[in-house]
Amino acid sequence: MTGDERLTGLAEGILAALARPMADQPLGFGRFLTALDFHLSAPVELALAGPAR
Amino acid sequence: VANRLADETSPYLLQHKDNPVDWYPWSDEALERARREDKPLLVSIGYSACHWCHVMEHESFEDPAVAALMNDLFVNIKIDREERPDLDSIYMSAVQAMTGHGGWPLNVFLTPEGVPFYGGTYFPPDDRMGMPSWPKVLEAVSGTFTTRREDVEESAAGIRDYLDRANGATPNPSPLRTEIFDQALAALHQSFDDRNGGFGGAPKFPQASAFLALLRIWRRSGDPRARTMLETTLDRMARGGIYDQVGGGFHRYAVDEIWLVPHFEKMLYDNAQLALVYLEAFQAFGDPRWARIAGETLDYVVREMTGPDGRFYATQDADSEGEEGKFYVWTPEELAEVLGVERAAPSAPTMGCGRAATSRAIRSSTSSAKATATRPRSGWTRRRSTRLGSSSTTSEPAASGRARRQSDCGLERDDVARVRPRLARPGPARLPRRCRAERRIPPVRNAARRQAAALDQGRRRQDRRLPGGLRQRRRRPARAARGDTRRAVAARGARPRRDDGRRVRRSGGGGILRHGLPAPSRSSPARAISRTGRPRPATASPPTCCCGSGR
Repeated sequence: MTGDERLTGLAEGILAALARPMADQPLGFGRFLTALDFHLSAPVELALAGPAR
Repeated sequence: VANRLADETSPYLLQHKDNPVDWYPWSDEALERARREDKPLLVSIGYSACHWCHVMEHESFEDPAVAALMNDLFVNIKIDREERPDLDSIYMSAVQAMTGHGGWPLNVFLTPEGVPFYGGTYFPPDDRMGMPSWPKVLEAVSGTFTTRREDVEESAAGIRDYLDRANGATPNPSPLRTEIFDQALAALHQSFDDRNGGFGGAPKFPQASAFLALLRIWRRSGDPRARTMLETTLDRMARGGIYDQVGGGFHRYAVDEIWLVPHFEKMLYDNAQLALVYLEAFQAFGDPRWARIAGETLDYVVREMTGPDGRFYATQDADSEGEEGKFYVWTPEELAEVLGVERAAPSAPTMGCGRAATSRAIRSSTSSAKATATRPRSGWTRRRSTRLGSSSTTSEPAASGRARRQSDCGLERDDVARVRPRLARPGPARLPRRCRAERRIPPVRNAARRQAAALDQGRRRQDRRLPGGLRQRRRRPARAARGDTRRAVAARGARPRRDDGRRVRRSGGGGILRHGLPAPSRSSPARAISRTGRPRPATASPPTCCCGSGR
């Protein structure tokens, strides 16, 4: 939302620190796995076309 | 005469204000008294909607003889885990390390310095189900504390060391690759219950965050195992007693592995997340059953878990009018009364409602999986509406408001808001007014608001002293507070760390007194404590009969 790269770096750091437990104990890290899925997914670009106002 | 809890604002603490036990709230006063009198502390933790907390209160804490024993041997502290999740987390970790399981009510014994050395969950008033009676536990703990102080100190140091290690560990960073999902899927599949859905055996908790992760793993990989695990689990849960077949919404967990017999309290956080799980499953797989469950769950949240100002209640009590699950259990006679004899006849087997061997006909508006699979939809829906009307007008669960707490409108509000537009269905799942949590709450006008306001005032007033003399900063986020508290417990110890061979193990350890308690089938007191104070492997766990920990 903000485009602030520092926040991305923080999130990557947290995910990387917990990568091992996420893989080994997924029942305890469901939300982290969801966040990792979001992180590793390609962005979807939407183009809204219409007459300018 | 009311005890010290009478001045508290927590509903759970207020439930104990008339106990003959000389309860303290968590306070410097209690800790100082323990140090001054060199008495162990008994810290008892629970929450207002917890059934077995109520049971232990009625059986033991209201008994003058038991209370006299507690008052004589210990400095007694009551904690509401919904008010102090940081303290609950510390002592739950300690008890899990000592006994291999946890839950509420959580009863943990501390040295006068505030370090746990023995604990457990529910204890009966007399020897029962392989568990020692509460009075025997009290006497055994006190006796050991008095006569074998060095062993107690050594055990406490081990537990403190365990908590220190558990909270101080820093994992090694690993690359973020999609293989993590493959490994996670394999791990989930390994513990999956093919027949009944869910993971592991009894008790079974709905693990919503794992379900959401599984959905994403399925979308990413298309692995059929992920879809099968999800569909089996969602199906069994929706057909089980853990789901309120009449009113919608999920109970907290099932005591068995087939999702049949629930513990009846309903938590906002479970229902908010499970509505999202079922909705996303509907989006992913297109099965209209999942949309129906999501809709019914949201209808329930709006109808019974939403306050007049749009804020949400956090929990709904397991007990109604003093009876566990009263509003959720149907006898054949009650069904006939509501539906009429003719319509009740086909309903009863569908709901699994018949005479059972237990004293209470059968517990639930529950449907067995087999019966539900063949149930006639339209007729069922009509009968369901009739029963819901009945329960709402005659003995509505919402009336049992004593245990309700206001939510902070965080995750749950977001989840409800996210699910609602995706359902694309007309219906009552509509929030009456926008939540006002972000803004200043207007002047108090009713009981729920008065309670919320009192809680806020109480929090501002409360001098949050922590073990080790640290003071928690007011309004600090719970996560930070918890970390500080754990460090405080760990920092106080001047003892050197043990080597790996002697550290407390998370599972298995019986705790210092486990084998010394006068349980009917346990070892003799002569073997009470191992020479090293090292926890021993657990013997058979006692039956889970408290509100088990979902962790």
